[in-house]
Amino acid sequence: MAFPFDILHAELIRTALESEKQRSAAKSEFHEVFNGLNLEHIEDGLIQKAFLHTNAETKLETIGFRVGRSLVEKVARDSPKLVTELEIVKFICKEFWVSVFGKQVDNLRTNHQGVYVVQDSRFTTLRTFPEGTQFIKDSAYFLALPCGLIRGALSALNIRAIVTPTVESLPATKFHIQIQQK
Amino acid sequence: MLGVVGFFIYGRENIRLFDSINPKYSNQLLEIEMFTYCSLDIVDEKSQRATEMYLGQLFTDQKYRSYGFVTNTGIRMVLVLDATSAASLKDQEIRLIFKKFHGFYCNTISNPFYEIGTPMKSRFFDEGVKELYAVSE
Repeated sequence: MAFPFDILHAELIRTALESEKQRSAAKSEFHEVFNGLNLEHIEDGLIQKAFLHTNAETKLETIGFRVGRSLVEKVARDSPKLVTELEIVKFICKEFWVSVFGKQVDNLRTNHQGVYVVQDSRFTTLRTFPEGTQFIKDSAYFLALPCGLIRGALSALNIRAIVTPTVESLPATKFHIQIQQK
Repeated sequence: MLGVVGFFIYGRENIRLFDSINPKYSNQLLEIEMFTYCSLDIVDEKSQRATEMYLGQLFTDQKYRSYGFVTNTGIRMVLVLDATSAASLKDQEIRLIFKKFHGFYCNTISNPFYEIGTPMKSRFFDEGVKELYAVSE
């Protein structure tokens, strides 16, 4: 079953991958041109394209960040005031997760020193994948946008964090949220 | 007769995101701005101890009264009222005004063309303040 979001998300990933392909093509073309030193024949904007420091994952992550920042304002509108860091992370795992990914997380663990591990046994963007370890490599693209969403939401709530996903067996996912001390 | 003088929205670091002053009070612009900045200091003080987003009355002098609101995401809203006007707003009504503007703020940042942290312009705010000033007549 595919929600409209899944189709949009797949399209986003496709676009990001395409632009990465274009970038690597521009890069190799630039090398060729540069080695031939035919500087007059350089296409407009080729240099900018070749040296753009964004791959598909970063691009998706950035989109997620922007969306997460705006979304959290709406989700946090009716919640009580969030004060401590733990309260904020709990809010992300409960209300935010439900409104964005459609379900609550299954497990949240912390070492009380700024590292949180969120476990979701059936993550939304991966639920159409077959179970097992076959497609773990491809799943990275499907987790970049959600990671950005979480990071954006935390950033709007005044917490700077690094969010990284790990997948051992699809569709179970672990997110490591590492809080940056101010 | 509500006596609304102005409505202001600031970001977490006190960057001004939105401001509006009732045209009736436009000749007192500087005084109102000064008063609002004074109120912001009290927002800082109060928001640490507050248990809800609405902060209540912040500051008052002979001319104006201000009320504050801080969202979970650190956005500060300040409502300035005329202290000399006879009728005054009830707490509940002020809460409602802030709630409404928080909704407008959500709508505005959902605009994909809006760049976060820059002054905002939107139809929602324009209509919102117009309505506020209309009932203040």
